[in-house]
Amino acid sequence: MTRPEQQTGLWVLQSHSGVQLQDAGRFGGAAAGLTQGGAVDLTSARLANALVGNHNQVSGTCPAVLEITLGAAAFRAEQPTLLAVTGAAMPLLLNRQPVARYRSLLLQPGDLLEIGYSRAGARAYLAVAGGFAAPAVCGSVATVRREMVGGLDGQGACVSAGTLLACSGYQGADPAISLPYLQHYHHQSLRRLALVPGAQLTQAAPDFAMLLQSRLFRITARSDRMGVQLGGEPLPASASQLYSEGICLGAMQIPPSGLPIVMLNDHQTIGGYPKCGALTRRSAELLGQAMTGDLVRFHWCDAAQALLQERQRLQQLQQQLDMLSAQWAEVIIAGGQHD
Amino acid sequence: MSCLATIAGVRLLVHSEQALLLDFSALSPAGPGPALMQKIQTVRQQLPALLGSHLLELVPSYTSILLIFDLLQTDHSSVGQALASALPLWLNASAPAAQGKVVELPCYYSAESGPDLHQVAALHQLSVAALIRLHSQQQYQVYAIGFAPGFAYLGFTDPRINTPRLSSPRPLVAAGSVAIADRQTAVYPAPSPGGWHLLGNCPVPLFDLNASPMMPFAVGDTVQFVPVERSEFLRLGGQL
Repeated sequence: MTRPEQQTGLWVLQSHSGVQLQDAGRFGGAAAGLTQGGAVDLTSARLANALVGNHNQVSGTCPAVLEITLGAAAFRAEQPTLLAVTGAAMPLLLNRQPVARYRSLLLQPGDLLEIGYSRAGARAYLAVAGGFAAPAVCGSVATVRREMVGGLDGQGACVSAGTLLACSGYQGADPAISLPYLQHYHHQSLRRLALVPGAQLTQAAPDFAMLLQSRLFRITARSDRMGVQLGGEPLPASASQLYSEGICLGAMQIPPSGLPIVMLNDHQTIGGYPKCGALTRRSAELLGQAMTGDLVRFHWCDAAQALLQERQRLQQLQQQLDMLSAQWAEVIIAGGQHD
Repeated sequence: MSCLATIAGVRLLVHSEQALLLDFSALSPAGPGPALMQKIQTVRQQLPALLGSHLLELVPSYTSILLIFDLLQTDHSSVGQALASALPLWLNASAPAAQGKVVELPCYYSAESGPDLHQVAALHQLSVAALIRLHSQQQYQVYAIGFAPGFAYLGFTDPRINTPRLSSPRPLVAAGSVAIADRQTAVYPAPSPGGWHLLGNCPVPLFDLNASPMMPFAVGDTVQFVPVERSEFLRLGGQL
């Protein structure tokens, strides 16, 4: 491990390919084949930022965070660093002592932060005050390994052990900003997810819509940031071949096996399997938090209604972000942050 | 329920809480072709000005355009209303608003740059020269871009050289490889696994994240391959 002069931040002591820099994703490149990427559970990523004073709007960009899949990561602070961890319930140890999630944590130089294996939920988010520094590619630092785009080097690198993550230091005492327990991510190993019916549903078997809604599906291990492969009793698959067409986040494809695949953030931009619909944005976030073996059940939700519900949810999230911002404003007025 | 409206033959289909698919397939019962691509390109080029910041993403393909909008600023029916007045004007204009451009791509056809060249010629009982002629004489429409950033599906090949995919994909195909499969041809923009037969190599980079636009052509444009000799290929920056 070499230490570049003049550069400081957070050392990565333990990591794996599921630890990646993410933000709100990359837009405008889909016509050239670039996928959207971004934090799978963007809600948790935004809250992590707000807890450390990185103000962000639901309608805008999200400062870069670490998306930590299933846990097993460790970091050492090189300078005073303020950070927060949200999302999946992963044990958090600061200098071997348990510390809380959804709370700002001040690390002093040499302090060790360890993240254990997740007990509930697939993805946690680690934000630092001021955000992580990385080159934006087409307006985003979102890591997409398959495309060799984004991340620390701009070429899709994951966050590997031995890396120094460049970030700002923090002056002042820990403002101890936290989010009430009820507003944390709460895992459910059986989740109901909302599905907007798509036009190709009309070409499916007559009982398809009813069967999809009445059955339980299992999250299989063949799931990643591209998509979630569901297991269970196969649905009647349509034999119709499509000319490839654009695919959106949350789209549910029914391949010839009859077992649905739901597209997550790193999905292909085009595809030719029939799609019966698409999960709502929030349901896609929750599916992305599901662990192998968890169960999901789907219910149909009209597009107009789903849109209104999503707007309402984003308004509530904005209120949470604003409330945290207001707490931060008090910290700054009290002279706690910058000297 | 999930078909919002049909405007000038284009069906507006609900794809998600923030996406509509513009389905042009009824305009061309025979399937995708140059005339349909021109319509799709006309619409694609004008959508950004019509929808402004409400538009997040557009993905044109063989017979459709996927349109993703910002649900905080607009909704399905507002986008539908904007399209209801715009689509008939765009599609019925006597002179098409958009004319796709023709892009010529150099290709070095050889066994050293296209390891399947001789095998594909033998499969179709053609001489290598005849295969090269049939592949390079055709003008190809860009029907879709996907699979990987910058990977363009070009169609359609002369029926005499339609070629099935490899029985098992190659683990690594060189960047620039010019390939064919079924009725289509393509250039691999970056090294990747691939199941198409390789005929040659194009020395011109086709995808650059830092360039604007990122690609020398878009869906709806026309591509033609121009055979070049080894020396010209190397002069243009080709790698063997």
